[in-house]
Amino acid sequence: MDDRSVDRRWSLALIVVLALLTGLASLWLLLTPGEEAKDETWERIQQEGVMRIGIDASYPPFEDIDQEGNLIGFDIDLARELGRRLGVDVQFVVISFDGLYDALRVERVDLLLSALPFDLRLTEDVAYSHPYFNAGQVLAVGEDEESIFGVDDLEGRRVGVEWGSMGDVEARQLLRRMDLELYPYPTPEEALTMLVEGQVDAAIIDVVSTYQFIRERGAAKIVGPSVTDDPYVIATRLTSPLLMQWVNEAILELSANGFLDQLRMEWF
Amino acid sequence: MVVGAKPKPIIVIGPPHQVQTVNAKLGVHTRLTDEVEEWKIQRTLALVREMGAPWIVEYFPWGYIEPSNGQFDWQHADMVVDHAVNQGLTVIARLDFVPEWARPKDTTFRYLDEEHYDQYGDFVYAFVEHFKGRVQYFIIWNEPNLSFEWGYRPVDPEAYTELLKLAYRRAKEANPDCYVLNGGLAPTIAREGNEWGLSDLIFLQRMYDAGAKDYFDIMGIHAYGYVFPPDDPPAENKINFSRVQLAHQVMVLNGDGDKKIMITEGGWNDHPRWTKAVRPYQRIIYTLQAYEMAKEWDWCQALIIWSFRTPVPEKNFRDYYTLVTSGFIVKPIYLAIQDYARGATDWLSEPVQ
Repeated sequence: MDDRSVDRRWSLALIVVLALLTGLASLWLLLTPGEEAKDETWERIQQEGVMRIGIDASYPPFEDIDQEGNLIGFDIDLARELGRRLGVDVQFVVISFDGLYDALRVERVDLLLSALPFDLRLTEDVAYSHPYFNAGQVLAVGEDEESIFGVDDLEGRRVGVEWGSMGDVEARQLLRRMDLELYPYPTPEEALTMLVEGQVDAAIIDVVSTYQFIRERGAAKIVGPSVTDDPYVIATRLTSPLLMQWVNEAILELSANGFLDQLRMEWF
Repeated sequence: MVVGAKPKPIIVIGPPHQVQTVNAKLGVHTRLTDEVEEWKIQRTLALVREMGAPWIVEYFPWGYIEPSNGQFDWQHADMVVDHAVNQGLTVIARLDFVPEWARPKDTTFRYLDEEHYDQYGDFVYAFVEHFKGRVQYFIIWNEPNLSFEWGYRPVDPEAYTELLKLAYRRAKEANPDCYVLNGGLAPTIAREGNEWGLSDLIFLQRMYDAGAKDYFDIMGIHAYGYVFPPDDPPAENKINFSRVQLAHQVMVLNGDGDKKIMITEGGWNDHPRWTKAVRPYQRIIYTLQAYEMAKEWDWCQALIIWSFRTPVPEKNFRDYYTLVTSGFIVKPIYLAIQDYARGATDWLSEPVQ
């Protein structure tokens, strides 16, 4: 099974889960008795034709500023696609990460789309969308490797990591329950180069670096479920149920029609 | 009725420990403020001791300890301090966070107007007195050169100096042998009139101009390296670790060069994508180099890096400042610092295969 098959398998699984969640949410909205759901933010976006999106432009390749001062990145393109689908202009409000949630709270922006990790502690303060990307650590093997399908298959194997990274932390945790040889390297690129050169059997590396390496060098693939999860989500105020419902439906469609995969291949 | 012996406490302080280290200036911010469970507090402080860091900065919010005027709740602060002292750690207590009763409605917990300076002074007095014999170092406020830390008002070095003078007098009233640190200045290059803050160097000079010299025993400053190595040369318009040397120059120019500096926050971040972060291996090497530099600087009393652990993951770049995960998994940087503190000398080399 090649890496694209694995990707497709996980994409399908994600779509099924997201569809179920969205369906349930829609059903809940339909069956909830009482007044029709109100959403002033949703109404204002439609009336003014502008959706204000809070970002911290210092997390490439998700959001960055190019040499001409333009905002670029995966999230920027995703935001513009959301605006296009809704038929409104997108206005980016650049804020440092520490101020993102405050900006949402005081209605300076309508939503946050900024490589924002899901944060369980904040679910009573904001509404989170379905994840549109999982930025955790993954297990990479050589493209011809046929016997490693997940971390449970690493017994007796040589495993490369980026020294000091969360992949390194995960590998050291594995060492407590299985016998493997751990090889730390200064950068993800070096660990993955050692992988494709056969110096190690597998590597635990963050997904973005792994995708970038595969795109540039090939000869490696991602196997198994993510070693760690770090889902990126979109946040709205709790008082924006219609906007959030629309965002969730859009993510579902963009996942199903391959737009998110296309963005990923474009940016890393 | 069930009769029996009173159950023994699950967590006991135990016999006192000592920190073993080759660098007595090692320190780390512990951030136990919101840690609820006592065993986690004890475990955190034991890990700090085992790492070889004798200094910790811990945050003691005024609003937590004095939730209503004159009513003090010392339970959590006592627990943290007692465990720290038992582990052989020296506690530097950061005192700020304005309770609701001491500030106008709809202001942030960083907002303290001059009408309430006396209440803050009373809290400082009560805190220093309560911890006499256990805590000797006290930081008055935090990063007062940032608007956010000054209640989203324009920063005001003169007003802050008045607060510092009052707090200094009250602390010394409670314990003449204590050491008072000014609120650690944030590294920023913001010029006069900037709405977000003011350069630490300018702020410090204006503190001296306002007569602050005799009202702090040790200079508190923050030193973040961002993407630069620790030996990157300092410059007035650049934020890097060695910028702290410029603050020392300001002290010398004001006839205060004999006073010690404590770097009460600092270090590097290794988030995989943040533009102000470095790679994890760089963070390890830079941190150890910085500890070595602090050891060489005779005017630097301690380097306390940000931060050891948070009670729960923050789910953002701040998680990549920590040395230990919320679940107590030690990161490779913790092990590297521990090796260094135990005398390892091969830490300067990058991993070579």
